[in-house]
Amino acid sequence: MEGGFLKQLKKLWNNFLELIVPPACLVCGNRIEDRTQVICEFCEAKLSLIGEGTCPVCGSENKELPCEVCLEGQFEFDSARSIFRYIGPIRELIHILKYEGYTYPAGYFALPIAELIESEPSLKNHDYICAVPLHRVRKRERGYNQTDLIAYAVSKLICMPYLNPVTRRINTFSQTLLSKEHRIANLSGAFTVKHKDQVTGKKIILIDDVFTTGSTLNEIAKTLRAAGAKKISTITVARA
Amino acid sequence: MEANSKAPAPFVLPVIFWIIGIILAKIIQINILFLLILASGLLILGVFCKKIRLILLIILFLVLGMLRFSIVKKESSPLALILQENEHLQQEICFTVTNVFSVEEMRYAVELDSLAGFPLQDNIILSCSEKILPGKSYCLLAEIYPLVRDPILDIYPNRYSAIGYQLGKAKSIDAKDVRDYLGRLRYKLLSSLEIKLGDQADWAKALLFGESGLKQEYINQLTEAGIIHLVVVSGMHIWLIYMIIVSFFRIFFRRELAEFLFLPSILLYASLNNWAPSVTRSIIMISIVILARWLQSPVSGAQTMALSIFIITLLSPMQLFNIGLQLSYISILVIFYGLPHFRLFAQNKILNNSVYKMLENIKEGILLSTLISIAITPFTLYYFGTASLNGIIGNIIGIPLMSIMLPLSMLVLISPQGWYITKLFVLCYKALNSLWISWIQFCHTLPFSLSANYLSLYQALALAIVILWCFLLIRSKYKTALKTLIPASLLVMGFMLIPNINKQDASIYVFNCGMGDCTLIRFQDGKTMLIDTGGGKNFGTPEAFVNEVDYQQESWLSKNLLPWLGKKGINRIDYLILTHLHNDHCGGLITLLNHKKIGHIFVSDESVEQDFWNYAQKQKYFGSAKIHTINDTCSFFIDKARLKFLHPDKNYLPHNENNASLVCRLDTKKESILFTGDIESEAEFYLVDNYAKELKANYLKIPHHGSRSSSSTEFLEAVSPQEVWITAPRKNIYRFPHPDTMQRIQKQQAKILLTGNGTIRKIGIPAKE
Repeated sequence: MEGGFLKQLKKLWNNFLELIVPPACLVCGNRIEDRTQVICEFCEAKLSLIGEGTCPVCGSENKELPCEVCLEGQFEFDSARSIFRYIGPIRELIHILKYEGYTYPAGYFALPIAELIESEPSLKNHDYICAVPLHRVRKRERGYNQTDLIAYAVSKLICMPYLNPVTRRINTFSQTLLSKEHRIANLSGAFTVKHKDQVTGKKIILIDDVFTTGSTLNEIAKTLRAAGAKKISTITVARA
Repeated sequence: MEANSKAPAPFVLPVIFWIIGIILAKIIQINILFLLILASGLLILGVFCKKIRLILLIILFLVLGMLRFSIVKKESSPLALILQENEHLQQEICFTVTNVFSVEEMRYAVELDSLAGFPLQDNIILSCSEKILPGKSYCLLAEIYPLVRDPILDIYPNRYSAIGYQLGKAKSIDAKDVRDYLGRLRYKLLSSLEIKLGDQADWAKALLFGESGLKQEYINQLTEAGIIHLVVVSGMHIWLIYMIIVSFFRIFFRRELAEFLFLPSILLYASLNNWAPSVTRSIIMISIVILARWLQSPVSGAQTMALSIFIITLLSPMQLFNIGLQLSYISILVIFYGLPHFRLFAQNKILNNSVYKMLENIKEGILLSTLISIAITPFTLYYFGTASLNGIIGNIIGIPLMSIMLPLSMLVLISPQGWYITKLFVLCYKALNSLWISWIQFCHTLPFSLSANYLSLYQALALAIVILWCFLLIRSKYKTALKTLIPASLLVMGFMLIPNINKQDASIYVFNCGMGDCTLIRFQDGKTMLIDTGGGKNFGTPEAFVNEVDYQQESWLSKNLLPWLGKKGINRIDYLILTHLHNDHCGGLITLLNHKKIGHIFVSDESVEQDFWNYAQKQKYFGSAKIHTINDTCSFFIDKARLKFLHPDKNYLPHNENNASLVCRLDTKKESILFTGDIESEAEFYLVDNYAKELKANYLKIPHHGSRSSSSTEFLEAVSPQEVWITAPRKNIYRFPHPDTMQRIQKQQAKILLTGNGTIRKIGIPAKE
């Protein structure tokens, strides 16, 4: 009976909290049933998924193969996959996650990524998941690293180990304002491998939030390759 | 941390009805038992009827609001009940000092713990003859008088029920309560600021603790400059303190912990500020936003506002009628919902370039302060008679300056006395302070401000509707604006056309104006007549020489009468009678001439020759008013009534100014009223000898505030009034009215009314037909 009473009390408390701060869609503010739902039905309907038939290397949706992007600059990673197109609610959700201190979208993004890893044959048999690191100054500012959160949630879902062998040495400028050439220059030498033994001969899944030109992922992949990684597959939440 | 305006706000509607309930209960008296039955009936009905449950719930909130207010109405102060039966008490009281009103006059706000050994809780004002410390408890013998609120003149609610005067010596007793420690802590912090900053400590004290010790000169300038909100502890301060404290804690801890640590520190700060409504409001709002952040849900501004006002009015419904609270909520409403949707630059430009972003923010700030200054005008015009748009310019430098001054004052407060760093802080503070003072002085010379333009309730409502409608346009809700254009303009017209006077309003008011005379007569056709203007700055010393500057200083008239006239919608005094030019009779004259239109002025030929009159004429204060110099008996007809001047006639030679006062009689069909100024027995005898028949009146304003040298038996017999009015405050230094005078009046078996007990109002002036 004791446990039942406590449960009742907790339910009452939760109802009280819902009265004061009603659960709402993070994007449009519509009312939702449960906080873990993150976004409402209407916003969910507006999401656009990236389907089959993309370039196996860079994940571009251009139908002509081999794709122009991959020919232009050789990517260091083996494959790139994205879940959503970087438009509409996803754009806002990622912004909220990165800059407004809400961490629930991380859990929301983890689910389709985990499903993708389980269903894609090329993504199977990897050793661990890692995330794009944030510089420690930036991390202190923000309080958390959003890709870290996503990667951690994914690793919990698919029972794959989660490690972070790479660190960001240089607090680089935000990539959002720069052109492609500047992005590459901005990032050169920004990352180092902290634990070389964790990388050598391993198959790694690398997770990031947005794929724009791929320069961040490429730079990390380069660093990992230099340390002797066997296979690097990248997954991003959204693709611009 | 911005409140999301789109998130759901389930609390808004019930809270609106709760507020309507409180307002309704204030206007009409409803039986508590009836309300209780109604509430329980609604509750039971709600349980069974699923379909109309929501409507029932909302009505329930309305009823609960009424109930909450009705309960407060019943809780009248215990001391006031005792004082109803006794005129005054002389007993030993034990009390705790909560606040200092005035250090020079040694007036304190105290919380009574016991009266004559019996426990009794109440808030009173204590006027002491020795210095006592806030936060400490004392016992002393005191004389307690009821703090009578003038039922006609006093507009603002008062938390204090009585005023005490110290008789015996104060004995200190040990504090038991936590609140006492807080009071002492507040006093300690304030005095430490005083030691460090010397005579410039006033600003830091006002900024940090809302201590109202600023010089009146500065307060007037700040009001005119429209930046008074910067130096009272407001919601903006709490947000600033939130930023400072959370950024500081985040050096050591993660955000959640920093916010958690912020809450107790801000609660301590609020209690040091005696829970000012704006502080309480913003603390509740910040707490809800923090809670929402922890729960990972966006929260709407409307929800936080509704919850905070609900909590505040649940604890004390009277707070709803607090002007500070109203202004605070108006500003926050404008911040959340009043800004127009327009940008100087495109969205992506703002995101990518910090210069554009800064320009955009500056534009937003200026727009916000403009809109807030406009939105609060109905309120400030109604309550204070002032409105100022100077604040728009004042805020540009004022807000950044204050956001530096506030942390700086905090640093001065916490850094130890005598260290070099403290001296450095003090130096910075003083430099900024001089900048601040020169900025105030610049802003108050800007031309966009109104003062002493009080609005009546209907005018204020009309203005509020106009402003609300303009906000629809600002928010580009053109369709709603078009739809509401006709109803809104009809409503405004209706409010403007509500006549200022109805038959009940025609009456005579003998004002409770302290040591002075001031009587207002409203005629049935809306004409107004004022006899004398109350005391000036140095009132209570009518014989002392008063220089010209003092006449322009604030007087009883500017503080009390102008707001009252404004609220009654009286913008014009048609007839002004100045009996003589002593300071207790014409103290408010210059202020009155500056702020109201005057039709006719009646003045005696003696007065016209005086220096003060010449000065006023030279400065052209009289404007277009028509001046009638009375040198003999004469009559005027005003709205079917007759005004007859009886004294001084052309043969009378006064030997002092009091005796040269104008004496006039107002006759209506049934009654006559005699106004006598300050005449003494010499003039009284002259009147009895020459105009014995003319003196007969039903009502008599006793001459010279009931002094012994006036109101001779012969004079009283000649008048033989049924009711007399004495213009003297309680506990005045002249001990007016004199017991001998009172005895003579009592022999006439006339009813005696004293202005010290509250303004005398005689309803109705039956006109001659």
